[in-house]
Amino acid sequence: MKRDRIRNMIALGFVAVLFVGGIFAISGATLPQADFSFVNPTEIESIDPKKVSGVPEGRVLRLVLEGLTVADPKTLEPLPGMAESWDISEDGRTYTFHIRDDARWSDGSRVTAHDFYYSWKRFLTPDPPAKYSNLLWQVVNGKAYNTLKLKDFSKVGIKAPNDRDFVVQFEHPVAYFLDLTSFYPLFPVHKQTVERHPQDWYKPEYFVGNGPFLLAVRSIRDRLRVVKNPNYWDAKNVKLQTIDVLAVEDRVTALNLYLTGTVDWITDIPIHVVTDLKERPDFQHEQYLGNYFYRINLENPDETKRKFLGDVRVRKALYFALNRKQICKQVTKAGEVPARSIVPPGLPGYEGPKLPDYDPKKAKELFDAALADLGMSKPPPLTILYNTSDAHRDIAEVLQSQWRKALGIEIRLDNQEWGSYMAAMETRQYDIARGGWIGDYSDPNTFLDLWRTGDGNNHTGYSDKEYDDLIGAAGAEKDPAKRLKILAKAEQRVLDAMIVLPIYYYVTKNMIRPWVKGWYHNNQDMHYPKFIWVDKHLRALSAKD
Amino acid sequence: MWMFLAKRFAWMILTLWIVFTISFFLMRAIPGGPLDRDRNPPPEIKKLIEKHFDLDKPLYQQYLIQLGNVVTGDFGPSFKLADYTVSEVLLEGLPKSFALGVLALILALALGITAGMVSAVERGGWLDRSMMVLATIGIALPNFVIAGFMILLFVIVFPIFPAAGWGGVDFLVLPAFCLGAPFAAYIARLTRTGMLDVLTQDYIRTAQAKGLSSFKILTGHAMKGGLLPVVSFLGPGIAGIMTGSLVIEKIFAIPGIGTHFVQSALNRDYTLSMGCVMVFTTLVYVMNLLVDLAYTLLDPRVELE
Repeated sequence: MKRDRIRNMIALGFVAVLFVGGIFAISGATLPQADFSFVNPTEIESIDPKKVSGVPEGRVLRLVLEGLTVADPKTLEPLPGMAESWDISEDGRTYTFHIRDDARWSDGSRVTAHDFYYSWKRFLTPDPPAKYSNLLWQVVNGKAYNTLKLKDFSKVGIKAPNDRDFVVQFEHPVAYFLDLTSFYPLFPVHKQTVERHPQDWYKPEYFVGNGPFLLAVRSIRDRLRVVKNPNYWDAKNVKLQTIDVLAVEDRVTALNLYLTGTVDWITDIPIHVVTDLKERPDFQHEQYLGNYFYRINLENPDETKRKFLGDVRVRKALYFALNRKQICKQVTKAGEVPARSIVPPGLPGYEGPKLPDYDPKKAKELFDAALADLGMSKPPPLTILYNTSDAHRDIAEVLQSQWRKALGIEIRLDNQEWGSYMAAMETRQYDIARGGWIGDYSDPNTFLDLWRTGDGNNHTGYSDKEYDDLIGAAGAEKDPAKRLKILAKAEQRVLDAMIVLPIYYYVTKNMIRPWVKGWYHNNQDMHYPKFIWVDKHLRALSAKD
Repeated sequence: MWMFLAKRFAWMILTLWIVFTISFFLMRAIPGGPLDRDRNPPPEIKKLIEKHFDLDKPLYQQYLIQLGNVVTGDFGPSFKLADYTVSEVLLEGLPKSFALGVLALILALALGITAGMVSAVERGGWLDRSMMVLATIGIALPNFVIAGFMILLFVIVFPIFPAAGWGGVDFLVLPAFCLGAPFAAYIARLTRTGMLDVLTQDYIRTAQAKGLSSFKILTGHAMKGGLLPVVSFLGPGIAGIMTGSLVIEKIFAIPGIGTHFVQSALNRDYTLSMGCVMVFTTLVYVMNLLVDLAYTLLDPRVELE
């Protein structure tokens, strides 16, 4: 009897749990739709400028914070942001920014030069340092302070003599510095909030920003909602009231959200539908400041391979044997351009070198000569390393077949997920590896300084004193035209060494609804939500169709 | 009874410790680390950051540090979701996974039991056959394939449900269905078998002889015994629904802990992945314990020992 009762109680309890759980499950409320929604392809790492390093974080930070300058949405030229104007000294080494009088934090307090002083000091303080802190290494004593060699921040070339003036002094002139002042790691943070709530200041309850929008809702891997900030200095020109940023990892899911009208903008597409989407007017694919390439490992642990790939003729043969047009036409298909250089086109004033085109005959000649000199009867089998992705696999397969056909090399494909792939490159446990680089700022330097000896992103073991000196000389050069010439020389040198096989220049892959206005294509695929607005009339019309 | 619970609790602690140790060393054995991103900071910077997170210490020290943290219930901050602690991430994700799981379970039970009963009563008829064909398909198809069909049908062709995301109940219908469908199919088969067993028993014939309606016989007399196999399936079933949600959560962009489980491993987010592993282990263990307890009550022959 007792057992029976307990049994019934358990059954009842189970049903009750299901019932309560069910009620809870269906009680979730939907937020009213935002004026403008877009998909960010991953949950952001942080909204602390000190901790971020990726493009998705930049999209969010530009909503809630603003740097000294902002970039023109079409041309990326520096426009006044928190600084209403700036002076550059004759020798190009000292920048003085004048903070605007009407610059306000979202709590109404004034944004002053001291806020930037505090934020940049915090950015450089090694407790631990910011991942991007080498952005400010060219500031006087910036590197020394950042790497614990100097304790006294007053010796660093960052000063705020008064509320209005913010002064930055460099060791050498930095030609692209006004690109960096709009770059999100250098955005300011609100001192009082950071110090009062060191663990929580980035939560919506506490967050104080100086950007066009305010943080309203933040739900992990779901959405981040911002609302218009009435205290923003340029609030009268901000037209959107609410913006939703949805964190969606899966590209097919993101596309579904776009096609069903939940979001107005997605920043990437699933590769297999490129051909279908290309027919649509709302698929935006244009020049993008990025390069897709393959690295060749010069420090191969296998001696035969090291000798083989160490011969520049072999590396050149690998390049000449690649029909990159075929890759762009048959694999990537979104209008990518076959690359013949490391620095992508579209950088103002820069005339870089170009490699010759596809030439299988020349490839074979170079290859045979090298093999004979190396005393090898046939080439050693090689492995292509790439991080897991359909697009990378498809390209690697083309390389595999082209190299096998043209040069008779036995190629194995090795895909690894991101962490293992990075580790293999860092420890030089690879032969040839897929890579890519997106420019941080509009200057060839962002594509060239990584090939310096020992750079954290070099990964090839390439070490050339002359190359390092050229990059150094360009950094010290005051005359902009001369500087670009030196960089072109450096690029020629690294291209001659052929440690990188350029494949194609990236294109952007946005889908954007026609009613989204003030959104322009630019070389860095960087979009300031403060300029964006929605033509509600147009949206309503298309909803009716 | 209390002795039994105490013993099981001690076993759970031991299990958790073993799982912790294995996961810790597996995580560290795979190449890469939590600081690997598209862009590497200069080596000087990387060293300072590693030092800050104790990643430069010898492995056994890192093991002891993390073990100490876990014992005190503090998993520390997440590496990849740097604005949150692991506990915050899990507390935000768990209720969402739970909501999805409960709905999936309700759907699985309702669909499965109904289909199984109908099949049993209509044994050999076209209804029985078509339902069992459906059930076999349901068991054979992985849930992400079902999800693809469902999205095509109910999101793109007939726009009834939202494509993905989190919000009201309409966001949960498709994912809960896709997650529950294989279990519904399984439950349908179990119900059918159980009911067929019971329906041939003498006491059912007696009930028919008394002139009871077939509905009364089914619900009042046959169901109790016929559903026993379903009850014993619930334990592993619930655990399965919970782990099955990894894929479904990704496809439907549901911010539960399934996504964290996968992404934290890919990101080498040592702290968050450890938190997920510990939570899942505890859940599966507790579910099994509850099922064991339920058995003893349902079947007098089982003793708690």
